[in-house]
Amino acid sequence: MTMTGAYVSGFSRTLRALGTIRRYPSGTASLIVVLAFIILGIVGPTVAPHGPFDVLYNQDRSVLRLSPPTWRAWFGTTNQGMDVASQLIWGTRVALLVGLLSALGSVVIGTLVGLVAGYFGGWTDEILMRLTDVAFGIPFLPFAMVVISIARPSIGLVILLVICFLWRTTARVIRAQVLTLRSRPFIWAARAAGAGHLHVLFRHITPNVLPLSFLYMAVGVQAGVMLEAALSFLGFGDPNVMSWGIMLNAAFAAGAMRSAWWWVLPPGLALSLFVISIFMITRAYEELLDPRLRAV
Amino acid sequence: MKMERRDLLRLAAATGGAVALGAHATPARAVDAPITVANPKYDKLYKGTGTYFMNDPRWVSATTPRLTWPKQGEKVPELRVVIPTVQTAWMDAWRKFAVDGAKLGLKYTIEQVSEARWLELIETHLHGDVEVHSAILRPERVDPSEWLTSRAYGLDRRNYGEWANAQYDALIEAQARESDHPKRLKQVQDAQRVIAEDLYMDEQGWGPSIIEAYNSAAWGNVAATRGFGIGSFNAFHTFLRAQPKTSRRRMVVGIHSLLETTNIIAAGNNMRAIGRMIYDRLAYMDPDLNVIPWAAESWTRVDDRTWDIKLRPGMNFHDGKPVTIDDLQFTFDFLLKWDRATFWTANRFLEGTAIQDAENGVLRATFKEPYGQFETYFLQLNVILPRHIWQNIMIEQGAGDDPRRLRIDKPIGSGPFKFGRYQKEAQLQLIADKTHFSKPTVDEVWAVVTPSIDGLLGRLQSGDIDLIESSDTHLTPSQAKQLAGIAGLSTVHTPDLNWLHGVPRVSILPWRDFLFRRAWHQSFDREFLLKVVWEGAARMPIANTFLVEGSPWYNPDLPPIPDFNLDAARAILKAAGYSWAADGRLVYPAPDDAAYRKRVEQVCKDGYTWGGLKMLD
Amino acid sequence: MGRYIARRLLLLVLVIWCILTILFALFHLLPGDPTSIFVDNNFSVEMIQRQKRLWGLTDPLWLQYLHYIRNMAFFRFGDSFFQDQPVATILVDRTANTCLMIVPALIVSVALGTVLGALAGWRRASRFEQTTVTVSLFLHSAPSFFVGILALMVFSYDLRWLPPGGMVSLGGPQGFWAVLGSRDYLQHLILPALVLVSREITGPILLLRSSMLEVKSSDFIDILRAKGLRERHILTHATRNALLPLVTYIAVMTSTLFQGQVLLEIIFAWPGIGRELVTALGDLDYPVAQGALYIMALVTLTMNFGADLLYGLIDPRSST
Repeated sequence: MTMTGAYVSGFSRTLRALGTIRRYPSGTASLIVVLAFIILGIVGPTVAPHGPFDVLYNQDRSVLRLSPPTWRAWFGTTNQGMDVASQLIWGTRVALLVGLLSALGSVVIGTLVGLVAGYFGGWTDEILMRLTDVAFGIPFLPFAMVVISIARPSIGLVILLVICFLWRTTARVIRAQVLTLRSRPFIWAARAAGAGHLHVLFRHITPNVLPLSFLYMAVGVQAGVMLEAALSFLGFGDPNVMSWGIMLNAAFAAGAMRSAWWWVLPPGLALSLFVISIFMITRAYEELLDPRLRAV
Repeated sequence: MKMERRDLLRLAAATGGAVALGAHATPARAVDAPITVANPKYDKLYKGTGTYFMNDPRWVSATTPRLTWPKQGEKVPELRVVIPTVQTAWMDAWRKFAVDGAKLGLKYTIEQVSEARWLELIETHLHGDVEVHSAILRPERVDPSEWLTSRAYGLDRRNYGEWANAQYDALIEAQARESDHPKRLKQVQDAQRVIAEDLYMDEQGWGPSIIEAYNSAAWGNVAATRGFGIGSFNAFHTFLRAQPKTSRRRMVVGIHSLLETTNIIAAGNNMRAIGRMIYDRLAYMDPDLNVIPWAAESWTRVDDRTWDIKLRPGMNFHDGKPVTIDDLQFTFDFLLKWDRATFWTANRFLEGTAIQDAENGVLRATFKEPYGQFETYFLQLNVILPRHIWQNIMIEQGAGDDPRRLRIDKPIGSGPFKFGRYQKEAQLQLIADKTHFSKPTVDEVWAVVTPSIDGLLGRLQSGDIDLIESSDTHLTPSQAKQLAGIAGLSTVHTPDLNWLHGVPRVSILPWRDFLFRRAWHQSFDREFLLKVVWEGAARMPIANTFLVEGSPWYNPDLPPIPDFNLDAARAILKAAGYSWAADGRLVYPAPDDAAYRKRVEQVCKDGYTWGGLKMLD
Repeated sequence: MGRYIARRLLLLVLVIWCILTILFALFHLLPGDPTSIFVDNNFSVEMIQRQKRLWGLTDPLWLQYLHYIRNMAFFRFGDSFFQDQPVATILVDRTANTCLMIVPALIVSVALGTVLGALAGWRRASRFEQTTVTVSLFLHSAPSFFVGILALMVFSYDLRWLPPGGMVSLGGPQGFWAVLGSRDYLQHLILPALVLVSREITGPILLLRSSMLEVKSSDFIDILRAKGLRERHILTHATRNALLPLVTYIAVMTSTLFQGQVLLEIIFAWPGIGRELVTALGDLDYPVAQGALYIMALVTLTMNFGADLLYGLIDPRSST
């Protein structure tokens, strides 16, 4: 098996798995929802009727404040006369950005740490795993609040923090996987044939853990979106971008949670829908990876 | 994430690495700083305030470039505005102000930081260009000095714009010593005129309004104190006189946070207000902010630095012991000996007190210099401590020489409320002292901690609380509207004395140029703040003053604020020699522009004298 | 085994030291100066300097670090900057309050989750399994603060069935044991605990379901069947075997519990450690914030450690 061949097979297994998700009705629906969100995130700013901070005025120059859904503002307006639909659309992009980047970052770091620790073992393993223990010992949300109040709220920092939080699980899982792979005959064979460590690690082992990494990537997207929302809701979000969490925070701070349903439900539902869709996909995917779950 | 060198050093040291590096972070000596002041009087502030300003290398390095003459074609630098994260309204307004500023060629960098960080930045004058600030009323702020001195007097370190106008400062010094009310009022009004004419600060909105809701099915006769509202522990008339309409005589107040110490000498805002419900203050104010006698039945002015205070007879502490003139004498002895913090402001001009007439309970207070704030400050802020409990407390508790370390778990005073049960961050019980000379109509007041506005509104709706403690929480019009439909709740609108303003650091470029400031004042869409951010619950400011219309010290004859007009602003800048770069950014006038140089050197408007920082050559 | 435990303990100390150092670096990077809180109070400059000395902020950094490590090791957190109590007292009180919310929720989540998950796994592809899994997934996906606010709105503000947050009623019981034994506390616990359970139960359900599937497909069950055991007995046996992964999971669960906890404590006005941290951060009450974060980290680590040991005991293969 050539190196590229191995990776292609790793990827194609993943893709195949994604393809077969169609067999699961909830998986298909979820895939459609996620795709819709992605499209919305990409084209969002061009289709959003207004900017996230634009104020809508009435004919008489008074602010169109807390208006329920109308033709002009599909999802109504906020207490400052801003268009909820537009904010939601702009927020989609931020949610996706945070979700994808933090998932990608954490999976890359986690996979590398897991691979190296699991493959080399010994002191390397010890050090890396203690590092993982340290990461596991830090409660994320409180820690993130402290860091953000030291620095200043920005979307980049939020992503960075989420990465710091998420890599640890991936690292542990990948390490465990590598440990089982290490003792497989084809690895011995490769070593016996004179292959170097890096060669074995990246050509023979990595492709076999990739599907698992992808699983954690999906988990990461979902966790990233949730954590950003939670941080923003607590008032630690980036004030210059509009995200679902910031929308909820604004509605909460304005005391409008219970009166302006049109302001609260869209970001809340979008968040739930997105998270559950990713969850469904991961579960379908997980069952495909692990036939035991499918059996019986 | 911007990290300063100092912080990197700290990190290096903190992680156990290069400990020795820290030694390099020692501040530069004052003599190294080439920055000088126009009037040596102000050296005291810039060189003599601990590690601040000229003794602070960060301040020096941030200030130096802005005191250097701009070169030909140099752009006006990015203007830094620091806003604490909790102040979302400021941020909402400044997002718009920055957009409008950009149309004028001004590029703002708006930085959001934690509130404590923000306080540190403004205290050390490292906050950049514009200090944004809002005001809500507190008892000590009813006296005009609180704002006029602390925010604009050239020698006060909280004069964040580093404004040093000789004429203004002379007026401030005079009014602080003027004990004749009409004369002091005149000086205060004149001082406001100087601020307004010299375009020192920009009033961006007068508000937000004080809107409150209360359970009117259960309570009548609530009292709205001007500038405070009905539910403030600082102006607690409602808790003294509200009439129960049901059999329930326990009033429940929702409060945002309550975890501070119950030692009144160390307490923060909430507990200090509550402390003055437990310990009697000497004088109080009525709902129109007029001074009224309280624990001091009367007072007579002997001369401009001496007063006789007559204690109200027949008062008792909550443990039953009578309040005597000895307690009052003890209080001042104690505070003068130990306190350098909470009561320091009220008593720093006090020379001492002596019992003048023990039989009739008269105490003579003598001040170090003529004193103008006797009624509105000294009598308002001082309380009576029980001598029999406090006389040896410092030794008993081993507090050293710091009364802030005292633990007063159950404060005993002579005020209208007795301290009941207290669970930090949960609930506090205040029990009416029915023997008090102004005995409350309610039996009990409970403060219940509810950390979110959503929770406060919900509890109002469900009847779990009767009103919201309003020292820092008011309703917005949309919240009021939301509650308006609920049976049993009424909303009250109290005239406010609030404001939001921006103070530029006039001691540095580009703010030193009066005409630049003039144009800048026209770049604020105040209507946006009023209509959008504050939902219309505010007043359009009519003058640049801290003492807004409705304040007893307001000056009705101030020049108006330049209105929001970007074209006019551009025209002023153009006429003043400014130009615009290809990217639209504003460019300083040419270095050889004599009129510009003159304006920058004199900082103040023609007719006033600048005493602060000088340009470097 | 003894050597294994000793080694793990040593490593635990190392990890704690790492976290302590991280915390120290963090809090000394905090650029804010706690004395600046007093600006509004018109303090004199000498007073500010004096406060800094009192709080040890003027010592050289390495000395502060050494003091810090020593103090943390003995749980001496110093005095709060703004409350008149030692930080340790404050934190013990608030942590106890937090436990009063978390522990019951955790127990219910694990117990109920185990039962539901085991049943779901046992009755693979039944309507029961579908419903359980889908509902728990939906609950898990809705942000807990959202669910919390909704629950308050319906059950407290509108219907007025349950108290609107807080831990006890006005004038209710004081002190940990008095609170714990009171009906009043139980009434206040219902809503926040339900919200917490709705979020946390998903983990045990899914975990038990999948390990149940695993166990079910193993020979072991066939043997039991062959022995002629009744279905209910087999289920019990199978569950016992499927419980193993749950032990590790509970540790992870407690560590993530603190997160939603901050939000729920604000929404439900619960005077717990999460809210204390948020307030302390706003006030720059270093010692309290530092202590709170340390306690949370310590609890997390201890749970992880306990799970490790337990796992090692149950499954000797892992103690390598």
